[in-house]
Amino acid sequence: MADTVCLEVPRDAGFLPLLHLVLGGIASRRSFSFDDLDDIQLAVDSVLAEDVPPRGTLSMAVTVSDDAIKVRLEPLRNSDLRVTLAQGQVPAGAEGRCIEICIMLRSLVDEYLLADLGDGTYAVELRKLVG
Amino acid sequence: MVNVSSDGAPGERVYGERLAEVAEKELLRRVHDERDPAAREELISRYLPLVRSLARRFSSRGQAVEDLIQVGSIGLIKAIDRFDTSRGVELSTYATPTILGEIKRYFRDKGWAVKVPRALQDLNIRLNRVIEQLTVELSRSPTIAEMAKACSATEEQVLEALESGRAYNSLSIYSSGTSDDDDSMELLDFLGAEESEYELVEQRRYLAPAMERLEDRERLILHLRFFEGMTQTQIATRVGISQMHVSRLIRKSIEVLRRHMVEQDQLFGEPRGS
Repeated sequence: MADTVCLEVPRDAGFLPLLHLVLGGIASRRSFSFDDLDDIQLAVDSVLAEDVPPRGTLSMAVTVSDDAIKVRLEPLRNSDLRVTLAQGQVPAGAEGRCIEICIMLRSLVDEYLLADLGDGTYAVELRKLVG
Repeated sequence: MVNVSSDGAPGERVYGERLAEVAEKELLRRVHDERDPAAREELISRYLPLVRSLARRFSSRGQAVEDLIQVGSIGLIKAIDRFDTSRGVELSTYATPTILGEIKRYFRDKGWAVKVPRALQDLNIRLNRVIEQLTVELSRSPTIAEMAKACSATEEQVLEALESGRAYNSLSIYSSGTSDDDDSMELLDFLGAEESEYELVEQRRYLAPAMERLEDRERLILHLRFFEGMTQTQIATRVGISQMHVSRLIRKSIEVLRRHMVEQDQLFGEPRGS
């Protein structure tokens, strides 16, 4: 049985702790380990930090089941981030100038997916197996 | 008033003596036996370079070094006033931990980037130890519920305390991983051991220019986490610091790398997010 919690916040770094708390509350209710919780929080932070400049609002939907947590972040706008995530690596010519977010995400979560929202924005889904 | 020589012989002074030439032991004797303010002042000025040196160790914690020197000076004055000349140790031996203790206390009380209630600060410090203990006992990373039970706190309080820990600026190598006690080990104390992984990290092309901004230990931790796939718990055991501190160092290192990237973009590239 999967439950989903949705939250919409202004795209402001000051709201990151709120996202952390929501993730923490869910992790706590599903007995995730501190390690797993920290990984998923860091994965969210990493994606949002790359989606610069932050504009508008952010929607975070957390779907949790017994063995996995899925976090969907939208809308994201940074086209470099989209290309990087789609290719699985930093585009040629940008090495050393971009965080190797794909390497990070591969370590922090089990899967990440891109979803085009059709208006120049996109969503990123992070999925982590837990337990 | 006792008058005699300037060679430091106890109880002796000469007319027109220069305090700068008086031996430390004699100055201490005058401070304690005669409550001599000039001798006290002289000792303070002699040890101010030590205070400055110690204060600079904390410069990356986000507080003005001049403020830290002021705080450290209070520790120095306490050390001079409390120093027991009969103990047979040097003032510098006694003063160093006293100065460091004063600076650490300052950070403990005022060093939070965001005002965090004292109870949460304390819980955060307790969690450092509890996570370590539970990880050993359970042979795995503990859950929030287990941490809450061990701290006699609610799960919400634990989550808040964990979050509040991130509001703290103490992400430098001087941060204590397990305790804020004055005599606790600091990460700096663990530095120095060569790790073969350092070289491996150096060989990575990824993030190479920015990685140079990190301390060896931070590079090692990033390597273990992102290239070797070790969990925070495993890294904590390997490196000899708490899991919470591994988490903080990872976050801090990534922030350093990210800042570097932004600077590079501003210097050489198009604005990010174009």
